[in-house]
Amino acid sequence: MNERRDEKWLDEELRRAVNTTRPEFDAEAWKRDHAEAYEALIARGQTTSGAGRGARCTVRLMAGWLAAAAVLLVGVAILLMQMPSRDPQGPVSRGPVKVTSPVKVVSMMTLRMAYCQGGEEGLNRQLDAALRTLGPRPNGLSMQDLFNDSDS
Amino acid sequence: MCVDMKTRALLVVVTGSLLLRWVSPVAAYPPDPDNAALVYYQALLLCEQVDDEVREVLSDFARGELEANAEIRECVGRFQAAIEYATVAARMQHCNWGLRFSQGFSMQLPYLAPMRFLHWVVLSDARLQAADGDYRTAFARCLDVRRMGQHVGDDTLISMLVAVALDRSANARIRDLLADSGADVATLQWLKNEMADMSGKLPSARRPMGYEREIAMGIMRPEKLDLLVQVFEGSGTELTEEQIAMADEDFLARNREYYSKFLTSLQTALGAPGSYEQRYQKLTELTDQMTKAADEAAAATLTALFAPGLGKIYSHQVLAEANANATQAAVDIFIIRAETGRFPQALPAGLPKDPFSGQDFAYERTGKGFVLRCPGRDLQKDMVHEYAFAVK
Repeated sequence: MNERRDEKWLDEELRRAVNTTRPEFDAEAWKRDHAEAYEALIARGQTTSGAGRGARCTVRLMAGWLAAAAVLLVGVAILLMQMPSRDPQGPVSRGPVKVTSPVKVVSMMTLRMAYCQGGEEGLNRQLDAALRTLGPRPNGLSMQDLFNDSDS
Repeated sequence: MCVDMKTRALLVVVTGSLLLRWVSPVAAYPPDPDNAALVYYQALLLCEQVDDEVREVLSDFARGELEANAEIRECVGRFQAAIEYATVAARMQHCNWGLRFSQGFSMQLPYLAPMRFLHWVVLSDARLQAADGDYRTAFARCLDVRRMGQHVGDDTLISMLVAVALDRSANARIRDLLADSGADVATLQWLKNEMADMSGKLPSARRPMGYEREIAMGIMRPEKLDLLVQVFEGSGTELTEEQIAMADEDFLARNREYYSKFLTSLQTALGAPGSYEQRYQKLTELTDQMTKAADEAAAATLTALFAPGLGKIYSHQVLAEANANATQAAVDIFIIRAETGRFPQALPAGLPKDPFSGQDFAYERTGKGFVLRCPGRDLQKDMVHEYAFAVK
């Protein structure tokens, strides 16, 4: 008898005992009426808890190994991401080049690096970032303004 | 008496000319600038600052990924002054952006990003003109963007790459407009002549490489070591402490020599006669040798950091040429269609060729149009480019 079937059986018993679809369980009364069954359940619970401890240990051990493997993988991934590309022909896809000052965002070297690191897409990303930072003019026009104006 | 008459007549003419010059409105103010960059800068100042979403909508619309609607018309309408200034600038001959080469790699190139945005605005206007049936103005806008690309120019390798991207984008829009098939023979003939005038004017990598050589060698000096370190700061390829420690006069002199020789060999390879494939392989071979040398010899250390991946840049350049040539060839094919009512069975003779192979484009009829295929392979992208035209 597995645990799921135990629960089903117990529900049936309870329903029968109180004659309602919403069972209200009187545990003490049930223990008195079904002493044998209660003892059997207690004994099974103790056996199960011993086996459960063993299983939990195995699971903990496996989880430890998995965690260690995950840490190792993340470490390798971070190392790989931080290594500069040795191949000048092969672009590495990244975000815009991080610059210390907004003035540097459109310097020849920053744009060159953006291209070296991400090819044409990298350069475009850097130019988009420059447009956001420096922009043509500060008299902003948002999409919302655009819709508001055309609605009126 | 006769002399007096002549003298009087001369006096009258001279006085009259002076008076005319004085009262003429043309003489009342200085002439317009003859430097396109000054007019572009004004166009950029006339552009409203827009958010990312508006920029995206405009570029998507220009690319044909959105249909025209009232909002887009309203948005493009806000840029009319900028478009007008940009198209005037595009038709000027000289363009000097006033770059401060003396600043070396710290030189600012602030016009590239807004020029790239402005090209989407002008191409959006081209699509609106076509939607209204004015194909001539639509094509003219696209040609202006090609001229903008030529003006963005080849002062630096980066500006050359942006220039090539603008040209490619404008050609793609011309091909879209051709497929819309609303243009008449006269418009297409005019387009053909305009494109013929522009052919062979694409920016090349040779000139900027010369400038970059001077800039790079200028900072490979002991007294510029701080600048050299600063150039790579935050780039992801910073100089290591070990490299900085060994950067004495001798190290830098040997690096200058190696870099100079390497750049000379790249420039020679670019200028040498031969096919795309031969040039590409030579450039790749030289770059591989340099990369290997950088692992083994200290003299190649800085070259590995400074040298551009020229095989890739060269392929960008050739691809832009293939785009332009395919577009030009397509115009001829559409002229035949406009004259005869159908596409030719075979590719007409004498059309621009595929620069990847040096041969004619392969021409194939399809259900609704045709395809032009490059017989040569793009070795950088390892693919064959083709241009499909499906009449709507």
